[in-house]
Amino acid sequence: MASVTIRNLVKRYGDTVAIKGLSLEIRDGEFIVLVGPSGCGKTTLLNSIAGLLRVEEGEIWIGENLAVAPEQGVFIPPQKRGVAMVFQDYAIYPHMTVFGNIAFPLEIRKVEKKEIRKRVVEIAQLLEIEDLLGRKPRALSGGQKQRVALARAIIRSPKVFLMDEPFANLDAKLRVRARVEIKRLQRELGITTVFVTHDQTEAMTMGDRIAVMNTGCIEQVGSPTTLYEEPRNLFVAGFIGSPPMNMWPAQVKLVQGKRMADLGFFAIELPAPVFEAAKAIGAKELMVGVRPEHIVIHPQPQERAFEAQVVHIEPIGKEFNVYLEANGESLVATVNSVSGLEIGQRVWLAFGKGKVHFFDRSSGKALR
Amino acid sequence: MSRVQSRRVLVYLLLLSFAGLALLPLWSGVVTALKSSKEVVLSTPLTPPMRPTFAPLIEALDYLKRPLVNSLVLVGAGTIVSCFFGSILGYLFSKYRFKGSNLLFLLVVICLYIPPQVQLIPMTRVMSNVGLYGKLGALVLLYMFFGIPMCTFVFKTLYEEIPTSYIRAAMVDGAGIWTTYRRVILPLSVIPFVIAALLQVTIIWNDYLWGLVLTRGMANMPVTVALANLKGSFVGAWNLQMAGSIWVALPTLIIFVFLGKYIIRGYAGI
Repeated sequence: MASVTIRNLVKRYGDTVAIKGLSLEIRDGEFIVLVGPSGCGKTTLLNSIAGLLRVEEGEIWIGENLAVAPEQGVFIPPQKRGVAMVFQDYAIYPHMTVFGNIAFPLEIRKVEKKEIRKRVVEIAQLLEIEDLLGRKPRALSGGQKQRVALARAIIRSPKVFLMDEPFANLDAKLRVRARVEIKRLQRELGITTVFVTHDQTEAMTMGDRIAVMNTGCIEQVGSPTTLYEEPRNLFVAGFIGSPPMNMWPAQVKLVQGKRMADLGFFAIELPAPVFEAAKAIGAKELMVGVRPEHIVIHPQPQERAFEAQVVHIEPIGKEFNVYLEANGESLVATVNSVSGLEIGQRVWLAFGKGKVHFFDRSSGKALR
Repeated sequence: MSRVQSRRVLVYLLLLSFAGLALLPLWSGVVTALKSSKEVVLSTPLTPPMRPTFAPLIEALDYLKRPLVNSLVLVGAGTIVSCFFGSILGYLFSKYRFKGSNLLFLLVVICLYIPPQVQLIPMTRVMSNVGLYGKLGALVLLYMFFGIPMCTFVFKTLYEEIPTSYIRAAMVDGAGIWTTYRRVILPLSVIPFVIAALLQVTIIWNDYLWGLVLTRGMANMPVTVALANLKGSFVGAWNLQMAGSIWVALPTLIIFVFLGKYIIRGYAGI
């Protein structure tokens, strides 16, 4: 068990910079998720921690040990870092049995045969795969392969656990089960875990903290709730949440002595701190964002509401996504009940009080 | 419908006749090998033997037995050594890219395309300088090294199909380059080894030029060169020559019949 500290990391591929001076503090025993669109550098970062890639600048500390510091000529090879990794395709060796696969890291370290046998059986019991030990990988299902990969990673009690989209090849049902199982395992073992995914639902459900990455930088690090309720910028606001946050461009205007964000078809009063923040950076052009569940649908005209038309209703179990159109802009609202709503119907929409997000349009920064 | 069928029959007849034409030399070779010298002169090359005899086959085998052993030694040494180095080089080229590794691999591949005619004189000089000229050892050394580029190419192409994540997993699990090769790559190399070995075996077994140029005397000759000497100096001993050819062709024939699909894979580079 160990913390991981990353300082000003830079990784270049020729002229393109994959990681741009990234810093991140991963606490001991924490489950951190790196999430972002493909090509954002999350896997590159993971491989750099593992030592499968060499970076150009910066430092990586694993616990008390400096693992990477190109400026000082420090590069600890992957096998000496005490990290274990689970790969997207599991990377289970097809010519070895399940036992052979799980035992491999210990055999390499020349651990005694009897001890290996004991530990493999222990780990197999923990993951409920002791019946499969004699099988060859081609006779395993996707979920079983994943457990074997996990077992092989756990067996040598790593300080840090690295997972590169380990659920990518599982079907939806198994994925939910695997999520729970990995979280349980991680809590029991208390191993610091870095988990890479492009799926924000996976990130939200699994991470103690989430680092949202984009184009080689970390946009925001925080707990799932923080990211959801207080996104620091437009990118995080748009990336976290499904269906995504509704966004409209707006302008700061003075209407009847009140400071308003004018959406064109609707105006929202700016809270004083938002106005101050906008004034401080001279922001006139804003983006206004509202999460689907913070839009209230009224069948009758209302004060502080605007007119819209129902386009489509999508049931998602206990809730419904209602797709609407207002002044040529489409938006989505999530509601508990759609009784009395019909496609084509005219409705009036209001935003939940204090649930509106404001961003500076040019920098994307949240104003609050 | 009957028109379609009759066209089909026509096509098959045509194909059959082509197949027959292609098999004619083999037929001629086999029947001639079973004739006595007298009958060879008296009958056409295609007529079956009146009084079949195994004497030419036995005589040819007796003549070729030393060269056959020589060729076996060449095939064995050449195949094992070039496959071994080819496998290691293929592994490094496919899984451990380094600066200039593509250029280096290109150079290796170019070696495949240098015609032997260009190398005849320099190679003869080299072999006589190291004191191997005329000896079987010259050929052993030659095939060992000449097979490496081809084997490297085969192994690299097939190793590229092995997911890189295996290598990375092994690295993280604590295996170095060589342990990874021994424990992960080598056990997955059965097919590449079969393909590369088959290509090497057929190339070395069938090679004539280098044996002709670099060896002297029956004790050192590969079987292809000895076979050419079977034709006789004054009279064409066709039955002996054909009998010898059958002995020489037999091993490669067997290989092609049973393992031909691997050879095709090797040539196609997949």
